[in-house]
Amino acid sequence: MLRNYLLVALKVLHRRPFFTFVSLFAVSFTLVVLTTASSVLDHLFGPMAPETHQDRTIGLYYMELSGDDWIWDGSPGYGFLDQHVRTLPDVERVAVFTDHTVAATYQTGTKTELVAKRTDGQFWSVFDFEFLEGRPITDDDEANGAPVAVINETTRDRLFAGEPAVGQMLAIDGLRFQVIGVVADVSSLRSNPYSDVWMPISTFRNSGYRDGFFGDFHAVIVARDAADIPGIRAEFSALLPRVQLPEPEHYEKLEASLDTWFEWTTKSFFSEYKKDPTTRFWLGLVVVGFLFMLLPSVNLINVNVSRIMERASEIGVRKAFGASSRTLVGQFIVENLILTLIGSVLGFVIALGALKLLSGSGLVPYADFSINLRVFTYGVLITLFFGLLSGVYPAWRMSRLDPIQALRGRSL
Amino acid sequence: MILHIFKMVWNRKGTNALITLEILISFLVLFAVCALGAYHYDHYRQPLGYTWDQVWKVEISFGEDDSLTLGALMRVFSMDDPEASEVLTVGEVFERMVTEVESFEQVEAAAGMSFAPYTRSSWRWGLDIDDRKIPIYMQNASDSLLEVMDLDMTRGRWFEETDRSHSLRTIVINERLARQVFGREDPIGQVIVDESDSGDIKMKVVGVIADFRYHGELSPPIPLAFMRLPIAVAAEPGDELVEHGRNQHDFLQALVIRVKPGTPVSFEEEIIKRLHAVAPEWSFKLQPLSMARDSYLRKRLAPLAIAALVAAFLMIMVALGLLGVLWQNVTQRIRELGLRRAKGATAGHIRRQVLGELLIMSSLAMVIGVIVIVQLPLTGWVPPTSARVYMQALLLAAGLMSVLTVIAGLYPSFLATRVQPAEALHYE
Amino acid sequence: MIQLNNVEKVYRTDRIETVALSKINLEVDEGSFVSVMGPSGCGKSTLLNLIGLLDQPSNGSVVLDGKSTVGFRDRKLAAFRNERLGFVFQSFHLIPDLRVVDNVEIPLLYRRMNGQDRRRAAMAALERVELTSRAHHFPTQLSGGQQQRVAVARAIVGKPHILLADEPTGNLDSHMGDEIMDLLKELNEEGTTVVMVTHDDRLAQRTERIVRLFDGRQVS
Repeated sequence: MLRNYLLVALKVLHRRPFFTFVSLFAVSFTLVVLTTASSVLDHLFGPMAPETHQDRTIGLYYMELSGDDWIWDGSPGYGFLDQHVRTLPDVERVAVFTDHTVAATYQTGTKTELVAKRTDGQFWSVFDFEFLEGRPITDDDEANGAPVAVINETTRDRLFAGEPAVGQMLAIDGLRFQVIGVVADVSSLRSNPYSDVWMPISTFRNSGYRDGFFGDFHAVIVARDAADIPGIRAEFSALLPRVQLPEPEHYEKLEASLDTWFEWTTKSFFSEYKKDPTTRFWLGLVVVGFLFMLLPSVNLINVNVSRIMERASEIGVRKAFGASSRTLVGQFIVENLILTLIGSVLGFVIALGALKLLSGSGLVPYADFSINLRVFTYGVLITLFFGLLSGVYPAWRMSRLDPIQALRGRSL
Repeated sequence: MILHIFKMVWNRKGTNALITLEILISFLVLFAVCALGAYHYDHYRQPLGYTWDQVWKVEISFGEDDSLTLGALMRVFSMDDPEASEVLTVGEVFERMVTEVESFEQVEAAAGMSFAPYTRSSWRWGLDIDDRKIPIYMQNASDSLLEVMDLDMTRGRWFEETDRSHSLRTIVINERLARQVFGREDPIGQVIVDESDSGDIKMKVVGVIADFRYHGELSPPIPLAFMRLPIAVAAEPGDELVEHGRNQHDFLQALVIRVKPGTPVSFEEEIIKRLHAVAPEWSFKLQPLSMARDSYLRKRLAPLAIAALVAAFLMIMVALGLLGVLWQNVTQRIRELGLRRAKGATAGHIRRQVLGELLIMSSLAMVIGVIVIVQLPLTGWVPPTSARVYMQALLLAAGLMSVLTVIAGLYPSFLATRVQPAEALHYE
Repeated sequence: MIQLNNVEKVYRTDRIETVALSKINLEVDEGSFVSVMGPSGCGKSTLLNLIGLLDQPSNGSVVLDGKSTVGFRDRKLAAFRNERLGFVFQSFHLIPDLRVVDNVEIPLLYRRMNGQDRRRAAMAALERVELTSRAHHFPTQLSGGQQQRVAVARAIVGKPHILLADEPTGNLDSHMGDEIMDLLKELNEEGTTVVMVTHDDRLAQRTERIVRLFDGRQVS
């Protein structure tokens, strides 16, 4: 019976190519957009090298100092992190590093702009980089202020024409560094590990950063087990009131929290640093997704209703010859599902192309968007939901079609 | 005739409601994109107030210390003799840097300022006027900024050597601030006071510039004031030196340099070397404004471009859908159309009827859409925009939507005119 | 075979009540050929629709093959129609995008039959109406008379007891109309009960019995 439905459905779709085309266009387009968005989000938040143990990783990215009239906020400074975060008990390790900035390197008449980051030695154990050459920065390098640097593959291509780079020299901001390692490119959406070149923190021109309460630093903490996280957060919250504040005549309270990468990104997105916006984020996502699907849904509903009306005479005949409303609705739903399925296959294919284009466009440096199993599953779910959404109302209209009117040439 | 068409539409409201709904949603989507575009375009069209061509910026970081006031003292080591050092004020160090930079042949002029163009940072304080609180964005600047950035003075004058008072600081404001704070009065000579805990700061207006939109071409216009900062702040007897503190006014973070056309990239390195020679502990980030501008525009316009692309595809989808639905409608009503023809309707009448019904539906949809749109600013979800921009976006969206519906209706209405009365009436 | 007991059909819109049929008592014996005649708007098509179970009476009952159809829900009615009824319409109502043989198969789609059997039965029905040569053509390639013959094939492919024809010759010229009439007569002689709505007196004369309606009532 199902095979029958299938055959009839395919014939029907073949019969009115324009309607079929419009439906496929709507379904595949919707899917392309939603799949692309899913892929980007997955790329932003999903587990991905070099961030391999996100479930037991939290970080300190932001603090706020407040008083009666005054507010001072920003990312933590090295001084604060060294004193209060590196000393947290019961953690596996803590990495301290700067936010990435843009630096320029000049080589015989050409200028290359690079994203630069300064890190401690632990950074390279917290993040799992893929080394193509050489070694990472170690705690010793950091302790000694060694003028060494790790670069990524693209930088090697740009500066050294892809030749082995370990041992070569690199000048940044007037300082000379020796390349000690080359790693595979890291997507710019993974803000924590991302950079083109990494150097030890102690190579700053000025050691003023050491005492900074605020600064341009972040810390990432890896717990031994995901279950330890709440405990670590509690420890951190407990120590805040005991911290000695700068300018105590202006400021009385320090607020800060340890966030997962996801929590931090959603917080910065909403510019709301104190409350947890993750539910709001998911809700917003669902609402936006739904709103986006609204127009294609209404479009599909219109097209489907038209398709039904156009076949009114046929529906009347089938009913006359013994098709129950249920049979006809079933047939229609199968047609709709097939259409949605073909449209989604098309959508996936086009989405793959679109994602390749997006990755190659350089809009998001080093991003390699793809459709992995997770994204594919979201796509399938969206398709099913979409197919249902656009099929229910027309199916109801179809069941209400009066065969008598239809056979007279007019329909509802 | 119109009334007749209207009746036709009303009587088939079941089917037509869905079409109207689709047009309504499309209209809202179209409006959203048009509004975004109009908002950004409106900003883009406003005068920038400076020229970015041939200007380089150098952003300075003082180690990890946020910013040093010009009065702060620092120890500067000599490049030639590692043992020798001297104690200078930050201001004196800046002065040296500017002198060194200007000594190059390729440099026409150099100046210091708080925030170079195409930065996201800002510093503002609230001025209480009558019962309003106006945010005033501040920038410090040295005298040569006028020349380096090619500022457009509209009234009064720029800074002069004689503007040295610490108790009454000299400022130059932009037209927007002049309007917001002083209305129609002449702002020249007026005094603004920043009442802060660490002491009031009095500022006197000596000139007005058209604008200085340092956040970029796409940013909303803001009221801005430049405060004169003589780079070399030397203490004079009787002056009240302001304290070193975070919210202090006397700091510089950037240099802007006007270079001669044709200056090569390698010259950037020389400037940085020279700057490091003067202040070895500071970090310098040099970028031509043209490059900063490019990456700024690219970053801001990319999401817009994507939104426009998605919207365009949505509209194509809607047009196709409408086309199909209308086509089907016409086929269904062949009898009716044949009858009308038999009763004397010309092809033109028929075409007008089909299109007319469509236009009534789309007009209805747009009226509802307009009502919704007009309510939007009241909900507070929409950023403040001028009514003019809003209206422009509305008209543009309405225009585009109408064009879209007419295009969708063209083929079906043409089909309708091809119906022969005899054949149609025999259709049963 | 077919029994209508005190059947009434009333159409209600917002403000107007139209009585299409009132107090219809009708009995059609098995194997008979009945014409239903009357001026436009007298309710003859409504009568046919009720017999054909395409509509339910407002009052009274329709009994087919000894079974009352009162209270039947959509599925049961559909099954009933499928097994026992065949329809022929004035405007043929063939599906233009399906080939002739696929059109004829339609009633069999709603029974449990495999593809081969269906095809065989359809070809047999086409043979009965002498149109096997056109089995794989599209309806638009056939003349009016041929299309109606296909429609008849479709109506009989399921071997129903009752054939309902609504102005079957209305869209045909007299020659083709006669052909169809001949066909219907043959089927009737083979045992099918036929109820035909017509306003062509000539054709009605060739049937056994004429039921006349006027303003929703039976007049003879």
